[in-house]
Amino acid sequence: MSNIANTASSQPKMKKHMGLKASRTVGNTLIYILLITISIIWLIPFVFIVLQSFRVESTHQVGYVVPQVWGFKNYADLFNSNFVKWYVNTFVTALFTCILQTLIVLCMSYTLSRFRFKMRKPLMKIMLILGLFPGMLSMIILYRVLKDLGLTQANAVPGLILVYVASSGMGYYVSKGFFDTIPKSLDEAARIDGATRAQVLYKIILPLSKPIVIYTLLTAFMGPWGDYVFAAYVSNNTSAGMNVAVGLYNWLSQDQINKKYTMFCAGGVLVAVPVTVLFMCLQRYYVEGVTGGAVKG
Amino acid sequence: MTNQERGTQAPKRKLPLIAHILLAQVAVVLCCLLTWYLCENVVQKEYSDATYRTEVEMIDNNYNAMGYLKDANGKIAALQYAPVSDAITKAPLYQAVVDEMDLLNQHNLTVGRLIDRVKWGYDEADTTGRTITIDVSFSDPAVAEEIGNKLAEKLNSILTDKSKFPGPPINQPNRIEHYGLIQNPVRTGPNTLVWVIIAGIIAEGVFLTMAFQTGWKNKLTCIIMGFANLSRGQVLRGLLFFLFEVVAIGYMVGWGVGWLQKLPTLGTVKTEHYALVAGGQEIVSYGDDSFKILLYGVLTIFFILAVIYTYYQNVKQGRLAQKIEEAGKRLKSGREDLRSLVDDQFHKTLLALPVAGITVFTIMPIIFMVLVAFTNYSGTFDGKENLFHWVGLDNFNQLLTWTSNGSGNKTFMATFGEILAWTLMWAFFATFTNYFLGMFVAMAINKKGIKGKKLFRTILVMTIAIPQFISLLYVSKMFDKNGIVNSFLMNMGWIERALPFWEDATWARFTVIIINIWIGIPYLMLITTGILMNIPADLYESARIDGANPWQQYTRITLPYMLFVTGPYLLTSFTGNMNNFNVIYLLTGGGPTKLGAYSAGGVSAGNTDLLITWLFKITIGGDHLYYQASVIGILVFLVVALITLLVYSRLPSNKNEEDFQ
Repeated sequence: MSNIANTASSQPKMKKHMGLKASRTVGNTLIYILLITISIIWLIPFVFIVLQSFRVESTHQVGYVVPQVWGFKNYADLFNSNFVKWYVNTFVTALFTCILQTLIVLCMSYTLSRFRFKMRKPLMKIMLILGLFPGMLSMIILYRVLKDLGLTQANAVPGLILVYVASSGMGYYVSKGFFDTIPKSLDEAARIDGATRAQVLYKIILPLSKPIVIYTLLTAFMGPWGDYVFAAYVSNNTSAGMNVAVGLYNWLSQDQINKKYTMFCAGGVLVAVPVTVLFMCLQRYYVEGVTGGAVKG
Repeated sequence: MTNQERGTQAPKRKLPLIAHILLAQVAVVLCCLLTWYLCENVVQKEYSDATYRTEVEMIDNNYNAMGYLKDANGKIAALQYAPVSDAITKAPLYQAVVDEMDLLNQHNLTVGRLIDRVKWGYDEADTTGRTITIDVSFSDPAVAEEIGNKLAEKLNSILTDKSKFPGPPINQPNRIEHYGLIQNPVRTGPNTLVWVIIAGIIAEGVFLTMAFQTGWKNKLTCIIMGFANLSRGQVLRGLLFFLFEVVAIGYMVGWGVGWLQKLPTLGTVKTEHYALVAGGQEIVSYGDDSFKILLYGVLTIFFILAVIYTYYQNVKQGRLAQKIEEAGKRLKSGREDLRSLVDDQFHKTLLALPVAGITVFTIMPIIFMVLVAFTNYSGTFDGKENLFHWVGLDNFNQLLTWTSNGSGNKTFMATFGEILAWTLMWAFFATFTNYFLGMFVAMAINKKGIKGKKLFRTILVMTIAIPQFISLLYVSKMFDKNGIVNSFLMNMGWIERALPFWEDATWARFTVIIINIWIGIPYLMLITTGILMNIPADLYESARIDGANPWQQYTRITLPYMLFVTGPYLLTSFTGNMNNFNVIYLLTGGGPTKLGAYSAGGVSAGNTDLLITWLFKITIGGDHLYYQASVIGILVFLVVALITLLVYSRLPSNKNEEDFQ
């Protein structure tokens, strides 16, 4: 808050002494300094974690960052640990969830945006109210149901996919906001030409919806990729059913941190790199989705 | 559809409506009578077990036979039918049962089943423990008597067997007394009156509906669902209705009624474990499972609602078909029905899966968990080994008195209040620091003449891309007592002792909010960038001409516009932060522990715990007090709902959603 006040109010005073151009240059320099400072702060943890992942001389937390002995030992160790299993689990979960969840979310949001039917408003209100309940509570029962179906512990992956996908219809807001902006006249024209509503969807709307489809795919992939709580609950301390988040979290527990700290860093890098690359490539769509979704609430 | 319905006249009746209704009542009475007859005369009657009691008493006062069977406290409680741990004392008694294997064969019994039906008892008033009662319960009194007799004899011989019960000699024979049948079989089974009432209600519904229908096809459809459609050639619709009826009756008779019957008690039969000899193989006799009863009970109620709705649809579709037929129009064929699912009724196709998923995986768990708040479901009363049951409003009444294990600790409500206060404080700071700083960074990056906009944005956005469990866990370790930050500060000589980032309550709260800024600014930067660009440039232009400085421009133009547009976002962001599990759990795990706070089943609250993390800890830790977690969950819902209600209606930007289209 105070930052805003300082930089903003310092500008007019300068104007009196210098020309417009000069004052802008000073202002911009200040902003550059600020932005570069922020960038450094933002990057520090990520640079540190990468550096520490190459540290070979010790495996516990140390007070310095740059390794004294460099090497790939931590990465090599990862491949001899359960990490590979966790990684595969996470990838499979994220992949299936991302595809199925996108289908569900698009069905839901498209319908709520395009159709006017009796249950529409009540449905939206019910979902709004449901969203106010802490989802954490449902975990207990979902765990028991999954357990009865045999989908917990070592078989946690299909169980997780089922739960992630099944309730994903609730997150329709952003894509509904997108569909709302596509003019209805397009649909009506196609309907007059004899297209069924299903044809309107996949011949007219879907080709226009690439940004929102990609946005939904991306967020649906990133969710399970980093989910900790439910995955921890469902895998229930069984290593074979964990995802990377649960496995790596356990490595930082009191009794393991001294042996596994640098491996955590290496694992973190391996988990973060693909999703970061993916995100950076699709950043444009993400920004569109987030911006649109926030404005429409 | 509805227009068609109203457009045509209902067909004429031969008898007045009142006659139909009266006839329906006759049918209802007949149904009730039929049910009564079936219950009384046809359905096989069930009886409770006959219990045959025998007592064995040690006559010799010098030798307390039961002494060997006393527990550590000198009580004789161990003589009750036993959990596995008591197998050592029980072994001789159970051996008696095994020795009567021919009895088992005669009556087609397994050992477990037999043990299940034999209760070893003792007289509570008899502190010397000289008397054992053996109650044998079977539905057949003769079997009860036979087995009861044999077991008593066997027990007597065991107690006098010195190889098994070494002790002073027994001078006199033990007294064996056969009390005979102490409890005669009582008719249990279906209660006729209840069944007649249920049959009456269903019949009333069905026949009354029937009375209001005209034409035999539509009347019959009230009993055979789908008949009105089927008989008019709408095979697909008719068959679906009929199939549903078959499934509904099958489910209700097979399972539904059973679950519903148990719902009021949440189960009565406990699961028991036996071992015939010490350390021997365990025999388990499975009882009820309260969890399943509650779960399937709720599901069955849902199912009944679905049945009522489908029945209503069935009647409605029948009438519709009738009217279309009478208007001389053609009815929709099955093929057309299917086609309408991708056309007129396309929304139903699209919504079917998502709504089903939400119902089963969101609504049902929520209803279930709300119900749990009215039970004593916990780690101890897990519904299997120890059944849980309804406790009414007890959990809510005890809000003020719930105390923790230790003395001098705060009540539940006091700790709840403290955590709620911090939760609100956290939500406030987390939302508004991010909001203003994010907006500020966005304005800085978007300022004219700044180069490398894309680079700056990409660097910031890294915190969104990298999974939080990595970034937050790593940052949490950076601020550890011996983490990088403290080491660096000490190496530079700026501090002498490590700063208590996570050890001190105030430090921890402050650090959490600061680190949350690191996580949150990028989102806000992205969101506000787009909106800032939408502010008409000529507003600023005219403001500048009028001599407004940048601060005035910000407070008079930018901020009001932003608040207007992002109002709903701020609200959801606030409530989202109240439930921001990840940041708190991954950074501090809720710590440092709050001293003197209420501890729920061995779980104590921490200073940075939000209600949601507290709830999670109670669920996974200690005694798993699910009912308490559920109460907290309901309270959280109430708080969030209240905030939403109060704020939402006052937002200036309650836009009409049709605006865009």
